[in-house]
Amino acid sequence: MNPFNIDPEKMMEEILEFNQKLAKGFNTLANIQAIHTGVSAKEQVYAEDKLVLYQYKSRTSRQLSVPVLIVYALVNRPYMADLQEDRSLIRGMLDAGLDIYLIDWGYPDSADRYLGLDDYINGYLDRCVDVIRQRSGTDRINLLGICQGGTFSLCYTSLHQHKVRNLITTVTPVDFHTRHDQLSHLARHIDIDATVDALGNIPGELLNWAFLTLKPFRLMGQKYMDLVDVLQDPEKTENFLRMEKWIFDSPAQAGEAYREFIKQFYQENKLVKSGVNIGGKTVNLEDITVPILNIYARDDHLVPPDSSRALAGCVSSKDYTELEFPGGHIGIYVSTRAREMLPRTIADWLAKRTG
Amino acid sequence: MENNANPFLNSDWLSLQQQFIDALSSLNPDQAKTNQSNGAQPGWNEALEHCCQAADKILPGGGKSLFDNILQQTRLYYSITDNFAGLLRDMSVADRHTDEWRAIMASHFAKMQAQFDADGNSGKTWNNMASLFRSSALDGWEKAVSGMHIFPEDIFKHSFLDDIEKLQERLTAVPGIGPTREFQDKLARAIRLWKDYQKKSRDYHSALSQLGKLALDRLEQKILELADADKKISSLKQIYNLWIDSNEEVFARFAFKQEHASLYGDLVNSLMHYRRQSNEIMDGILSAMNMPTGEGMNTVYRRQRQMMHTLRGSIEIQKQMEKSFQELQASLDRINSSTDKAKPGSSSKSAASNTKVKKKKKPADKPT
Repeated sequence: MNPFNIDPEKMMEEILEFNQKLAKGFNTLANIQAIHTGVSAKEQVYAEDKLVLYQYKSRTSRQLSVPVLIVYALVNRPYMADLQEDRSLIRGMLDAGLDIYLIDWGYPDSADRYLGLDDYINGYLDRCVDVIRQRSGTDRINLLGICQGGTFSLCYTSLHQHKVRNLITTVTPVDFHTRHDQLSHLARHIDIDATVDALGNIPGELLNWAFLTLKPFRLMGQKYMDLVDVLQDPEKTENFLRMEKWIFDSPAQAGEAYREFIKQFYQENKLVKSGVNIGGKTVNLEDITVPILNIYARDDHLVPPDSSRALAGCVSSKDYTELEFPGGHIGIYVSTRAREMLPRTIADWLAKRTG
Repeated sequence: MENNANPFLNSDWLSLQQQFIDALSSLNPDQAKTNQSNGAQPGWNEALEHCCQAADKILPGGGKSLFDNILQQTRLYYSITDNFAGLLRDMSVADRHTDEWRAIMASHFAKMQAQFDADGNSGKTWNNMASLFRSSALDGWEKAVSGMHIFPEDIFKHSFLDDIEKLQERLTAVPGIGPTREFQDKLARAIRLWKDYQKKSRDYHSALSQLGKLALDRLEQKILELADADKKISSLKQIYNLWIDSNEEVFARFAFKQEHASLYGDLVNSLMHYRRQSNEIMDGILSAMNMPTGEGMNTVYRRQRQMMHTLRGSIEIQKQMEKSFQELQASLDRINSSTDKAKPGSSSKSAASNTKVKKKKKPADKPT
């Protein structure tokens, strides 16, 4: 039977309806004010070069005694974890009684092109940890790494375990050569020396393109068509714009750090082989014995679950917990389900291990 | 378009476009008067252009770029509708009780497939299925690298590209002496690398075009699957969504192949090699003008980092020394204290002597 049930009248109606939605959408967009992100109150407690360390204002009368430092990726901006009031992992964790710190790496410029992983992990991150230890009066703090920030947290814990009480990794790549890791397939063919030598810092647009080409037709096209259906709703449009702002707010990557990361992690997969070298020190995941909560996203197309789950076989922690989130790489921070599930789970897990 | 009893599927598609032009042009009244159809491109495309211009004037930054993206997809949506209008027209008059529609569909899909082979040979193919696929898949790349060419992109493009071989010959034919020779070599190498990038870019485009054909096959297959399951396609948006799904499926299969990774790597690497050579040429020009070069700035940045490391190392050493000093001081205090305790009846003496010492140390007690 002919599957097309589109008569001319219906077709005309659909086109006209679409045009009307578009025209209304135009009005909505014309009236939208500046988009704000990063909604929870925070104060700067330390700054160095372009890095800023923030402490979030508590929202509960009692807090867990050991603070949590969120280590975000160098790619994109950390306000993803605090996007808007009803879509904020940070707010959820504050409400659950956690004392939250966050590192904002800033926007590297050409003067930062020789920053390496040693500077980021043994330098900036370590000094932030020391600041928090001093402020909170605790010897060891909790680390929560997001994506590449999770990989950094693993490296840091391996090298400075005496400063880490518990480690939480979220959508963190560990094994960079798993079968479904599309980014890794692509990265392995890139002449990274030529790229860094030619560009110095790696422009954010180039990285964005790499991420968007994983699903080019949906991520660069279909989502905009789907938006037309809700474009007359200012709130939904604002939410969309907020997410768009985050997606395209991509700092450049410091050249040397990028070179080291792509080579050692994506191309040579050294993290699982205990061969990553950071500032002359070897990262050995087997050295890690602290309790670990490893959260991965079931439908993650950037960091496939297998890549994150490989952590279980690499560390020596006797207290290792794995949690699957039913969603994607971004949904884990902004979806309603994430808000219901993650902050409470993280807070309970930490409470049991912090006392 | 030929005449047909169906009021929409022949001339009405044009009238529909006209309505759309009117609706959108009203958003930008300045342009409404000059609203004319432009060559092979349908009127709605021009209307969308006007709408883009209106957005430039009215919408704030974030809203404008979002609306641009929406309009780009709207173009795609209308183009697909354009491409399917003939098929839908023929379907609407086909005998509903026979399998005639299958032959009609096969014929229309064959025509769309042929667009991929003819693509590039005609200036009127801007909205055929091949172009739509390619622009969807490659727009991001074009945007991402648009700022990476050190020379204006059109230096090596358009008519110049046709003569690039001649230019290269001319460069190598003219004998150069000393620095001129060096510059010529660098320029010749840059041209060679640019040509290589163009070739790699064509290879990538070509592979994607093949994918576009496969995606069209997949779309046809999906429609047939729906028919077999007795399901209906009741909107143009549904056709658009099926097209997107087909493209993603085909692209995802290709993306994991070694062939794709190689083509992708070649595309990126060839651009980077060209860019690296361009940097050298630019540095040569800047150096001749006695201006700071990229390489010179890199040296400064490198030294800055080294100095920063040295400074941080010194701070660390200082901290360790302070810590050692404090520990030594504490040890010394403990030794003094235990020595005093060891002396019979020394506790009061010791306390007194400590007090004396402390008193001596107090600067306020010293005559000034």
